[in-house]
Amino acid sequence: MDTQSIKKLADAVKGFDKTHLPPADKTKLKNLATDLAKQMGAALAEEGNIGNDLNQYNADGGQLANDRQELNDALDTFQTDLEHMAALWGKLDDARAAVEKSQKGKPADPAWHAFAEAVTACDAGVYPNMSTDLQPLK
Amino acid sequence: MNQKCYDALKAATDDIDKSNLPDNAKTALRGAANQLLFRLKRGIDTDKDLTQKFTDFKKRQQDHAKEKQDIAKRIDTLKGHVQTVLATQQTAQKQFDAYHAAHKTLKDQPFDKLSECVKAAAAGIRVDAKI
Repeated sequence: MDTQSIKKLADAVKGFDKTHLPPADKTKLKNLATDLAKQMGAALAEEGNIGNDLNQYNADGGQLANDRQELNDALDTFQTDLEHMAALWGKLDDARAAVEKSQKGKPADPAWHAFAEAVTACDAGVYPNMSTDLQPLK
Repeated sequence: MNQKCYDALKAATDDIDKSNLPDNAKTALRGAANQLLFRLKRGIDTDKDLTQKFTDFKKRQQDHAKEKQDIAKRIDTLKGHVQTVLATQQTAQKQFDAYHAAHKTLKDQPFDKLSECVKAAAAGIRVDAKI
């Protein structure tokens, strides 16, 4: 849309008062031109607003793509960390089993049993539930 | 991720000190358990943080998709408005042409200028915005 055209039209509407047309005709034609200039002005303003919003929309889209990549990378890192944790669970459980074997036949130790139970419970319940809700973002 | 399980393991790890296990077994178990607790705590925090970030991101994606719809609607509305403008211009042009024919002898420059401007303005109307 063209700002220059609207300005010229508005100027022409002002100059129209100097015509020698009958007053009723003058008013009618002037009103038509004025209405047209107003409608064009409104359309031009909205076109400008849409242009700005489109630029913002496109910028947001670029930012979203970057953020999605970062989050998916973070998820990969987290999953790698979980795999390392799984290996640690295995080592801890091996150590627990070795101690349990060496303790066989000895009087029950509440602290030890609580620890052994906590390891078993975590191993069985925590690790499989880790990050199951998180899926890579599309 | 389960904070309750982390808390139970942490309490049990702390209690290893009070157990009757040999010192070397206590040390080995506490070392392994502490490493695991550190990782587990970090995992719980990361899980919470990522879950929140994923939720926020999905919300932003939804808002962005809605923004697209809104802008597309506004472009359609603007195109409709431009059609109205063009209809107004055509009406005005007809009136101008009719009066011009009826008042040829007036030779008013402002009148001619206005008529030209209406034609020029109509030629410049277009909507380039696309989404």
